[in-house]
Order: sequence, then structure tokens, then C-alpha cells
Amino acid sequence: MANDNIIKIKNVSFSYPESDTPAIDNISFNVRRGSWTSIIGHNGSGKSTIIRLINGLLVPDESGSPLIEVDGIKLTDDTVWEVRNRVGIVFQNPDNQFVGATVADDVAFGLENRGIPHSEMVKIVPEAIKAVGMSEYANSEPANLSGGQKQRVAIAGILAIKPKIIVLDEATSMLDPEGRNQILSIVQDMKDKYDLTVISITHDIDEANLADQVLVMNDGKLITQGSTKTVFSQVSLLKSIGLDVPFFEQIKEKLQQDAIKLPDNLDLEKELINYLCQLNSKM
Amino acid sequence: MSIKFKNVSYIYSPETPMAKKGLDNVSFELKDGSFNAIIGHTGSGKSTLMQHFNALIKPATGKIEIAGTTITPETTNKNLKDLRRHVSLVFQFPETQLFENTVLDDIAFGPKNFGYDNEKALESAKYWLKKVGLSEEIGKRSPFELSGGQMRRVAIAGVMAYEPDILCLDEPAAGLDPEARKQMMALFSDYQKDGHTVILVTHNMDDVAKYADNVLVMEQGKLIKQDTPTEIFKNRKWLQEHHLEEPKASLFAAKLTNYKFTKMPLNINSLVKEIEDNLKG
Amino acid sequence: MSKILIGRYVAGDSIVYRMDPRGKLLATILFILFVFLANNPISYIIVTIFSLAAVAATKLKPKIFWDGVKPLIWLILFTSFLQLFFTVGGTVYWRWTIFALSSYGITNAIFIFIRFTVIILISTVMTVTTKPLEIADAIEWLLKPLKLIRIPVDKIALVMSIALRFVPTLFDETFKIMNAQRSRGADFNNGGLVTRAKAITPLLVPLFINSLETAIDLSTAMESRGYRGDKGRTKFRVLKWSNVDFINLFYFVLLLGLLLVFRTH
Repeated sequence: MANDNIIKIKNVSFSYPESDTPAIDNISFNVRRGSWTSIIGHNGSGKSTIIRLINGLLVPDESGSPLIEVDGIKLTDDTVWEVRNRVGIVFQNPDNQFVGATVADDVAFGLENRGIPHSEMVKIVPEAIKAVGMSEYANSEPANLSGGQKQRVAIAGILAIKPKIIVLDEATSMLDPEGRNQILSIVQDMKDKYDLTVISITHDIDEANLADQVLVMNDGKLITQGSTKTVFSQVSLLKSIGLDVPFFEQIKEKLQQDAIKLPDNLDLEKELINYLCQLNSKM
Repeated sequence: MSIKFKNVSYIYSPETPMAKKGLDNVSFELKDGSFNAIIGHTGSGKSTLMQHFNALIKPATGKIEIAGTTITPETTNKNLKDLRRHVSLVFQFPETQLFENTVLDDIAFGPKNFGYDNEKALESAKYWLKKVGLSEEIGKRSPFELSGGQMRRVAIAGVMAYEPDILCLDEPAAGLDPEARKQMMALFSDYQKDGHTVILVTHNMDDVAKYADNVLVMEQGKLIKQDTPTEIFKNRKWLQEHHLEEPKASLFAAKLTNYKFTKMPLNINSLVKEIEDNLKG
Repeated sequence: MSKILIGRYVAGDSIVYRMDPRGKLLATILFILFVFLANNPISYIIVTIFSLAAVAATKLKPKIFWDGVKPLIWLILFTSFLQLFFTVGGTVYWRWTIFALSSYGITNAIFIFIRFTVIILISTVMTVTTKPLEIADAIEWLLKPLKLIRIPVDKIALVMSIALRFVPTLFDETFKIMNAQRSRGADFNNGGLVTRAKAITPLLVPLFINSLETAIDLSTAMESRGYRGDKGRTKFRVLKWSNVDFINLFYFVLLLGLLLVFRTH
């Protein structure tokens, strides 16, 4: 494909009315088709605002001739619904995005909005519910589901409309570890199976570590971006803006402080483990 | 004045077909001034157990001795103020309980209810506002103008402002960013060091390993283990059988297959030290 | 407590449960209208038998229906007593100032008593065998003609179903906030009316704020899930008439027929 970037953001700024400082300050980045991108940053750094700009829930400031392009479509008033057909968002609070009275009703909500005929809905809905492993709960009411189960239903509702991009907007932050792991493994499966592009907004460092590309936000600015290797090795930068660094990076830092020499190319946890094991067997 | 649970059971929707055991014959004792962690799956009875500490729910059978009060199935809703002044609960996402016009008034709500006069309540509110890391200026603002993280701090200050002897917290740092999480946990740790008892319900095993000196493990309403973090996290097989997570340091240590650990490292410092000891031979 | 608000649906399995909610709602409304046709002892006996038969068809314990009548029993008795002592006509057995006990009074009181009771019984049959959501679906269907005069029935229906869906969430929230404030020393149980009214502020304000937040979140989620009003929307949840509904219909046609024949013209 000629155009390999499914999302293009150029010179985008956004200010909430009543606020002097922009929530998003002149940001540009691209997202490759079929990749996994993590956006990290502390609360209020502008992470979630970016997503709302991408699917047209918010409109960028006009200055600087901003450009938002999704799947080759330039986002304008006329194309906003086309763009929304391509982007599915799982939000943070499992309860506050569950519209339907039952699991099946909720999964159907996006289809109803798009005027899909009933005869097709009855085929698509059970399939989507099955894909997230919720078949036995198809007629359950949200009050009887756990947070993790509700988020799985939210994913099913997105799968049903066959989007190109799935966004996790801190979707796992209100879940227990088990729920979180389930959601992440479902999204990983779906990404491969349906060739999806994933954007995850998170401050869970393990979740961010699943990405091909990491964007780091601070005070509305994109302060660094790159592969997990390039981003997470900038330990002092991440620490200075109050973010965690992966555990193995912390170990590396401590070992080096204690004058244990490590080669520069230990960029993954398993590389560090291999090296340490080799080092120990030589002793 | 330790906390004693004796054969405590609790049943949800008793005498209906939906009846379910929330707690099943739970007995334990917690030392004064200790830092306790309650761990277990969602639905294992952790929150049910927590709500017994200040008699928000009462046992169906059994007896609880806490802060000079005895709670039995016969305990009524009257005269619980004294108990609740000494034993306080912070629920998950406590920022949803804010209601006053100003931050300071909200923090002072608890102290006033527990008999502080206006001046003393506000004084305490100011003190705890600072303690949770918020500026004096924020005290005059409406709690609803604050960010989520700031609201969380205000809510927690509102409970600490009457200095309960026993502070129970349900995932107080859930959803906070890493830096805020560290500050919050440090606050509770300091509170314990000042001579109070802290009870923390959490899924975060790193926090358990770092702060707790006693761990209660719940499963299906039963207390299946009570021990120190060192003992609890020593047995990997047992943890996996009960689908419990491990501290990051333990997980990392387990991957260093040709290393010998004198004891299971629970935090990064002891892990690094053990690695270095191994390398020195 | 939550049972009162979310409707009184009782799980069960009988012919009444298998009926289409639209049929049940319509039948309930028709029955209430038909009852007013009854005007003599035999017609009242007919409506009584019909309503008791409907109760029996649910195969539920009588206690469930008694629970339906109980909260209104004083109102029923009071209204009947008014009829008993204030109706004039027929033979007068007893009179004192403005009160009178007459033969008309006695029959009217009995009629009123039966009328009230059977209406409550039939409504209870409907509400205990039909889920709130199904009732909402049925109301939507019934309101459909209002579309002609540009009343946004689909929107109203969506609002109803979302409202129903959030009732349990709201209850959880209420209990959670109550417990949180109790932990901070708030007392919802003691004190006079004024104290109690004051005590409820720490509950109501957070509840209101949280609901507002939920509403904002929900509208964001709905918009990003492609909701743009009713235009071109299809519906996933559809109701289907079946044979049992014809039995139901037949039953009420029969009732209407009997009443028309036996009432005093």
C-alpha cells in the first residue's frame, strides 16, 4: 500500500475554552497501519485529548493549519462519521460506556446507529460476543458483570462495526490484574486476526511495553517518541516527568550505579537476563 | 487493643435462593500499629471483610473485637460513632464522596461529625491538606474544580483528618499515575510509623512486599493464609495455584535460573544485592 | 430496597411469561377500561373470576399478589368507606348527621372495593411477569402513533432503556457513598426530620455530581459509537407475536363480550 500511515497528525493544537494553556500543543506524529502505539504521560498530560481529536469529538484549534488524517480520509465536518466508522474506542470507566440493557443489546448499539438491517445484526452480534469469550453472558444485564467483563463487551461492540483502529483509552486502569491481562490478550489476538491498528493510552508500563511505538506526553507536548527500546532507555527523562520505567531498566540503573559494567545493547528484559546468567556462569 | 476476628461469617441475601457466603468462618488477629495487606481475587471477600472493620456490615455469626468495641450479629446501627471515629474506611475511588463547597470544609466534615469544634476541625483540615501534598490555596477552591488525582488526595485527607487509630484502605492508588501512587503509599506508611494501624486491600504485590508486615490472603470468603510477605511470596507454586501475582522482583529473580538466592527478593534493592552477591561468588 | 424501584419482576415460567409484553400491556389497559363497564353483581363476579384466572395462570405464589395489593389496602378501604357512608339511595338503614348507611351505599362500596382490587391484581400480573425493559419496549410500541405528531418516540424509548439500565448502577453508587459518609461519621438513621434532611446532603450532592459525570461519559461513548439521532437507525431488539398472544387476545374479547351481555343497560 502506498500510504502506510493509517493516522497522520500534523501541527495539531487544542485549547479548552476557559483555559490559557493549550491542552495539546502543536503535535505531529504518524501511526503505521497494523502497528501498536502506546501513548504515555501522567494524568492531565493531554493523552486522552489526542484521541478525542482523532475521532472528531473535539475540534483542533484553527491556527497553524492542522491536519488530521485517518485511513486516508482528512477529518472534516463532512467526514467525521466516516472516520468514526474506522475508529473504535474503549473508554476508562466500564460502566459509563455500557449503553444497552443487556450484553447483546450493547454490542448491537453501534450497528443500530449505522442502520445495519436486523437480519445481519443477528449474525454479527453473537459472533462479536463469541470473539471476546462472553457467549454465555449474551443476555446478562450489566449489573451482573465485572468491570473486566464489561470492557470485553465494549470490545465486542467495537469489533461488530469492523473498525480499522481500536483505541484503549486507559481501558484497563479500573480493572484488577486478571481483568487487565484478559483485555490485553484479547486485544492482541484481535489485532492479529483482524489486522487492526491499536493505540493504547496508559500509565501501566507493562501495557506500554507491548507497543511498536511509544509517544510520551507531558503538559500537552509530545516530548519523545520511538520504539520501546529508544523511549524506555531514557530513564532520567521519564523519571523527571513522574513516569515509571520498566523494571529491568531500573535494575540496569542500579547495577551500573554499583559499578557493574553492562554492555549498551541490553534493550529488552530477556537480553538483560541472558547477559546476567552468562556473567554468573563465568564466575 | 489488637483487632480480633473470631469465626466471623457473613451471608449475602440470606434466606433467598441467591444466598451467598461473603465471609466463611474467618478468624485472625492483627497487631496494633501494624501494616496489613489483604489480598485475593475480585469477589474473594476482601471488601466484605473490610466493611466489617467499622460495622458497616455486621457478621451473621461470630464476633469482632476492635478499638474497644465488640461487634456481634446483634450489634445495631446506633452508637457506632465512637467505633467509626477510631476505625475508618477509605473506599475505592473515594473522590466520589466529596460534596462540600470548599476543599477545607469537605476535609473538616469528618472531624466535625466526630466532635471537633469548628476551629479545631479547620485546623486539622489545613494540616492534612498539606500532608497529602496540596497547597493552601487549593483549600479555598471547590473540590469539583480539581483534577481527579487532587480530588483523591482531598478525599483521603478527609478521612485522615480525625486521625483514626485504624485506617482501612481499598485500592487507594487505583488509577493514579506512578508518581502520585508512590506519594500516596508513602503517606500511609508514615501514618503507620506514627503509631497507627493500617489495613490495605490491594492487588499490587509490589506495594504489599514493600509496605506490609502482615498479609491476609482471601479466597471465596475464606482466609486461606496469614503470614509475613516473605513467607507468602516464598512459595511460587502455591501463589500460582491460587492465581496470585508476585512482586516484580520475585518474578525477575525466578528468571535468573543459574543464580542462588539466600531468600526470595521482594524488592529491587534486595534483588540487586542478591545479584551482586552471586556475581562476587 | 432496590426491588421497589426496578419493578417487581419475579422470575418464573408459565404461559403468561411467554406472552408478548405488548399484548400484556394492551390487555392490562383494556382490562382497566372494561372494569368500568361492570355495573351489576353478575358483571362484577365476571371481572373477579377473570382476574383471578389471570393470577392463577402466572403459577406464582398468592403472596406475591398480596404484596401488590398490601401497600394500597388503606386507600382501597378508605374509598370504600366513603362510598359506604356517603352514597344515598335505596333503603336507608341508619343515618347520623351527614353520614348514612343505605343499600346503594353497601353495593357501591363492594363494587369499588372489587374494582380497585382487580385492577391492582391485573397490573401486578403484568409487572411481575414482564421485565422492566420489556415493559419499556411495549410502551414504545404503544406510543408509536405519536410519531405522526412529531413526538420523538425512538428517542424517548432510548432514554427509557438507558434509564432502566442505570438504575442498579445508581443504587450501587448510593450505597457506596452512604457507607463512605457513614465512615466519616455521617448519621442517616438518627435525629429529627430536619437533622435527617440535612444529613442527606452529603449523599445527594455526590450522587448528583457522579450522575452528571456518568451522563457526560455516556454521551461521549455514544457519539464515538456512531449515535447521531434516530435517522436511519435500525433496531436489534424486536418483539414477535406468537400463538399465546392470540389466546390472551381471545380471553379479553371474551371478557368484553360477557360484560356487554350481562351489564345492566
